[in-house]
Amino acid sequence: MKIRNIFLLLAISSCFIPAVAQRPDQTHNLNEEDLTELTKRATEKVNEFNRHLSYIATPIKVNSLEEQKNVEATKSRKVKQCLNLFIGKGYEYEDMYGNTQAPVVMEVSSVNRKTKAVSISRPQVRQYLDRMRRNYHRYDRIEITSSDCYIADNSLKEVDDGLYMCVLSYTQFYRGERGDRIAYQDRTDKNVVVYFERTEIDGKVRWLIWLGNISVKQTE
Amino acid sequence: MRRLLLTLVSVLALSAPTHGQSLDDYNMLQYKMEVKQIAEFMERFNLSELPPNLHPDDTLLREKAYLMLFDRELIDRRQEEVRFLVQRLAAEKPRLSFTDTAWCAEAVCRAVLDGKPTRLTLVLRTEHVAGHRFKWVISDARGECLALTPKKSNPGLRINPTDNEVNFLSLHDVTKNEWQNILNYKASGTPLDGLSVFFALVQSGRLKIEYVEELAYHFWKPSYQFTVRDFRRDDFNAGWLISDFTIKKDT
Repeated sequence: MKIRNIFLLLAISSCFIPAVAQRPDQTHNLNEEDLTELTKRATEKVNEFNRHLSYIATPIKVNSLEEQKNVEATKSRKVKQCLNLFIGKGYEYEDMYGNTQAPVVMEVSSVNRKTKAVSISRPQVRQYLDRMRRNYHRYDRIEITSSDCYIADNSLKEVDDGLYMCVLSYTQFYRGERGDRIAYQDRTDKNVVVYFERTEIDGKVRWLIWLGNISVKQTE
Repeated sequence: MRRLLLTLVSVLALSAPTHGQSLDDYNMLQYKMEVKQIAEFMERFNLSELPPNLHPDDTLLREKAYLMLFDRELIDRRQEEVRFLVQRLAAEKPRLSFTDTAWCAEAVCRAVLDGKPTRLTLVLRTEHVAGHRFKWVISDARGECLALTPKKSNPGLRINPTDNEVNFLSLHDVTKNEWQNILNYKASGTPLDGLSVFFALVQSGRLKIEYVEELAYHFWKPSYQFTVRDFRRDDFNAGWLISDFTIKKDT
């Protein structure tokens, strides 16, 4: 146990140590400046998604039909904004070769409180958001928060002319409450694919960024 | 050697679980320690990225970095061999890269064949496309559902020695009426490979993969090879870690 404590102390005292070696064998032709910018923007996209998701999922108490309509309208707008973050806006889409690509899939897991068994489903992102909006589990309050995103330095891959992809990891915390008690909570590690498309508008380079499939790595 | 052994013990000691369930109390250190992607495994193996508990000036930096990429239960079971491999790695300083040809992914898949659930294993490897571009390709397929077996076998299920003189007229009957026993007509010594069967079943619309149930990566170097799996546990020693390895005897 003592050794473990020493190790813990070491770990805490030396967080955020910078990398020490350079990596060869690149899978893209982007420079460090582009990489830093893209990583930052990809992280912002994921955070934006999680912010929207939290709003969409959270039940809002209303006192009149008018308020109900306003809430529904706002949630619909948020769902649309959310879908705009995804490639194909959550629908199937045509790639640059004319192939039809499947809609983005969102792996979803939940833990059975009694058996601790984890079940996984794979709805399309549109269905997932709809389910979240309808408060499928009838919780009075839902809280969704996320950790910082992690991206490996070697994660970025060039896949086509001007098209790049990478994977971001983050942890999502979900809590559903009924009355004063926590009816359900879990912590899920997720990986999300991010697409970067390089375009030139008026001679200036612009990057279009979309989210892709999201997988569940671990749920507790 | 004693210091390395102590490090080994330290890695083994990192097994106490934590029970954070909200963003506030969740142990972010544990999240930073976890090897979250295979890309991160490679970064840590190459020492391009260090786990938060290692300092670049550590005199046993390589040894500790490698050790922390092993599943602690594997270390527990095979301490001497792990130590031998770690020392070899520290001496050879090998690098792993997505662009390497000496690694592959092994995916155990849940699938549906003719409407019935089944399971098969696909081996995928990276293939160079052009310039910096790579893609994953399917290089092997295994599974009981890919091992074709005839419904019945007997000496009568054959193409007669005279059939060549009549334009092999029996081929029509063989493929129309004896299609479930077609393997009786195959030349002996020409084994069917699972990959071809897999592609044929998929292209004919009979086989569909539902999802990947288990994933492992195999890396091989001239004198050793190892397997990396995702250890999902509430622990510092978690994520993509070396789950098995072999060292070639003549090295």
